[in-house]
Amino acid sequence: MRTTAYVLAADPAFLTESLLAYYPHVERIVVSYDENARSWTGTPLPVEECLQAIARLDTAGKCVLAPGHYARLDHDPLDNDTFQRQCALDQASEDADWVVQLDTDEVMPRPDTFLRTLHHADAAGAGGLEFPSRWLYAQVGPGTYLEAATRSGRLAANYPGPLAIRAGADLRLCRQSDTPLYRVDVRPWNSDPLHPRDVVVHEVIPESHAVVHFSWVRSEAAMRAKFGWSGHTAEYSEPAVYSRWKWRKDHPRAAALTSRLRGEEWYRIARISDPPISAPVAHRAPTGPTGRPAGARATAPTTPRDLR
Amino acid sequence: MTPGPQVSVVVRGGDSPALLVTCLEHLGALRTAPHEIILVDPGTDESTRHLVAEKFPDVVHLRPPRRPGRAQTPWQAGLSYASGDVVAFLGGDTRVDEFWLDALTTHYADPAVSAVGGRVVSASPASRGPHAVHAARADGEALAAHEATTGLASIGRVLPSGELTSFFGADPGRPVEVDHLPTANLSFRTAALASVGGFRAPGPGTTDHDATDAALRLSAAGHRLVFTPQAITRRDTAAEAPGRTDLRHLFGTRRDHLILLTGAYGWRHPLVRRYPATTLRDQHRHLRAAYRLLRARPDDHGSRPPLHRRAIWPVIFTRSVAELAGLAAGTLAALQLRSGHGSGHRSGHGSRHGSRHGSGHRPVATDPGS
Repeated sequence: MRTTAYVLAADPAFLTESLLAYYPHVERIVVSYDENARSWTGTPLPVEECLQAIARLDTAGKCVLAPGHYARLDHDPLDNDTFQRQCALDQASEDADWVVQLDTDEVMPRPDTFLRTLHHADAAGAGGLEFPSRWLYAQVGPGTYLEAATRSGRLAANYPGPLAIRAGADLRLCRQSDTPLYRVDVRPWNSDPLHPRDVVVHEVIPESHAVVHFSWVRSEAAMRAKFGWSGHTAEYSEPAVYSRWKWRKDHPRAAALTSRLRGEEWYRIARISDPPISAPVAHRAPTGPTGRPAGARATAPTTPRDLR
Repeated sequence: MTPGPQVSVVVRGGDSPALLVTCLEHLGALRTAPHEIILVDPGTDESTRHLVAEKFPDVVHLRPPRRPGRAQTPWQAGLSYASGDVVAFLGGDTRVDEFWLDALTTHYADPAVSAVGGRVVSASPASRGPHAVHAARADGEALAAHEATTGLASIGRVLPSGELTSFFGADPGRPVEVDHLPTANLSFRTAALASVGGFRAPGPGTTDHDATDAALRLSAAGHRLVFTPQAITRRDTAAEAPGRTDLRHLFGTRRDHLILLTGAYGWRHPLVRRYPATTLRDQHRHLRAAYRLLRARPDDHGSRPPLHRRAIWPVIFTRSVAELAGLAAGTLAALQLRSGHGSGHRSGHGSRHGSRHGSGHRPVATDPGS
């Protein structure tokens, strides 16, 4: 089975950890970026920093640079997101059976598990692999995070879209596609409150093997910038969103303890020691109004949880 | 070029002589003829027997005796007689495509493959009965498209929750690995099937799921099972539709499901432990539906149920009772089988080799061709 990958070079925060996890297991990685270093909303991106990081880790010459024009200001940012991904996916699909589509702030702690389930998805005839990710809301301390949970305090897996997709597939929105999916979960029954209760789970993996999504693990400056410059500014720029995040980040245990009292947005404290987090997030995020924050997501939110 | 395996085709007779004749006619038109065709039909009347003997003199007709109180497995009777390297099993109400056998046998070139099944396509929506309302009612093309595209990633799976998926009408466009196979269109490498004991009646008083039971046991033993969409059979009779809510079906499904799981995996397997939990979780939909009717809650479309509809809420509630009772019955039956009291429900025909080579009891056979 020939496996390639694509990444969108826009967010250097966890890029090295993310790529290095699956770098030995793919034949080629298409590095897609805007040729003018602009985001989908037209704001500047630290593309050069990303390309330098990729050049440092690309010891086997697997990375293929794929510049393009994706800051199409006459299009919706989500359309630009989908368009850039589709272009990258098409390039990565050449001489490939499957294409890994992980964002650069998503890290595989156990690539062997990911690849094993990918083989199972291939054998089952699926068009995409839905693999669970742990959605991190804030960093509490070294190796300790506030992560999305169910109301009862169990892990709530997050599915932004198939993390691997069959070569040549068509994307509908961001990473999502209308192809039949092979669903991996952390429990035998659906563990994502945002999905239907009776969604089919094909395989179960341990929680510690799920992809770790450092979604909102940012410094305060990076989060302010993210709220200002994301493609979802309308949602993020609500003062209450930042206030809630700031309070919960500063009072993580209270946020976790009061989860059950809330109708939604449930969290728990989780220790995630693998992989080692080498990136000092606070120093990565540009704070100026003209630069896309390091924490700005390369993908568009696809579920309400992403909009928190 | 390596010759393909010798294939014995076993056909299970049904209620309709006309469909059976059509089935045998299609087998006669296969591009590659099988090594032998064996018709197993304990219930055939004399006129059908003569009809088959007259029109298909090469077909071996087995009539395993009915034994009061003991469930028979026609598949095992056919397997006992078959001499091919591969044995394919067909429902007597199906019609095979011209290349059906070639599509099945090509996968046996891989020595790791122990069983291969194919698509079962509904040929006529008009004959599918009232339970097919979930599918396209209108025309055959819409129904075929619905079947071909439903459950593409979930064909023949045993899910971690303990549930079994089918979707054997789906066309994934490529062969896929599965955990079990369609009962009306499947084949086994004879030696592999013999290694797990052949067919057996999976539960008390029923032979309905003997093929599923055999496939699951093979899968549980680590054998590789393949579903190939190119090996097509068509059937006019009503396929079992999801969403059936009659109490007998709900009871039987839960009972048989648990029996199949325990028979294939054993009591200690996580799948067996999870299935009761899955059943309990599934009651949510019945209880929710009953509650909505009782309290006149609006449905997903926002409309409130009328009074005469609300009055049936206890009926909805009994579905839960039926499923839980089925689960309890399945537990008791599986315990019975485990403790050996159910041995009488196993097939009395022994293994294929034992039967054919003299150490076992050969079923009563009428062989017009011999």
